[in-house]
Amino acid sequence: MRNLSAVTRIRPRYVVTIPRSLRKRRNVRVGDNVVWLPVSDRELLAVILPSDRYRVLADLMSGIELSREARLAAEKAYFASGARKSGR
Amino acid sequence: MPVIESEFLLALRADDRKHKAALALFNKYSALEVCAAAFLEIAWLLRSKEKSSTEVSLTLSLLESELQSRGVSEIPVTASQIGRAHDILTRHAMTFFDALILANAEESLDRKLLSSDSTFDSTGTVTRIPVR
Repeated sequence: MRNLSAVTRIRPRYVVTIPRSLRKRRNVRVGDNVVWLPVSDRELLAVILPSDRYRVLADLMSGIELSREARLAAEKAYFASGARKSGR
Repeated sequence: MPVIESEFLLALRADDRKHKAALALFNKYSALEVCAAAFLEIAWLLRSKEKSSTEVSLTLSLLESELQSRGVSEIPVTASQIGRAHDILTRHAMTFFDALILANAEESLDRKLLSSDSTFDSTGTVTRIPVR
């Protein structure tokens, strides 16, 4: 893949422009959401998501239920996963 | 002001059967509070479905942003609430997160909880308003 890295300057009011090369390549649109996730002191992960937040939430939280059975199954899966990682 | 919990957060999904009801409640109540314990439960449910840590962070960020844009304030989880949740657990049949959310909601101004889950009625400490 072509190197798409670019440098942009932070302008007054901390405005940053997403470089054209990235906008085109990633099909970024005006109105899309940008979620900024801190990675380290000098790193931020900027995730571009479509403008319809409720649709994005439906995708991110697909398959999640709150029934007692679902919660018990989740508890079992969650702690089983933790036990696998710790080797217990 | 009424308090929202995990059910309401899940109802913000576009395809949730209570989505329209949740949006209507945003319009009905000018001020709402959210139990921080609900975020914890959502994160836990997502991880149990093998969602990545980035997906969990994205979900929580979007939920928080949506609630902030609607002026919903957050009731933080405190040490005393965690203790109270364990006390509730010894007296009533419910999950840990239900107990924590209940202890969280007991700290709200008027103790009204927006939820369809009748489990929250067992302590009699909050008034439940069904989401429908």
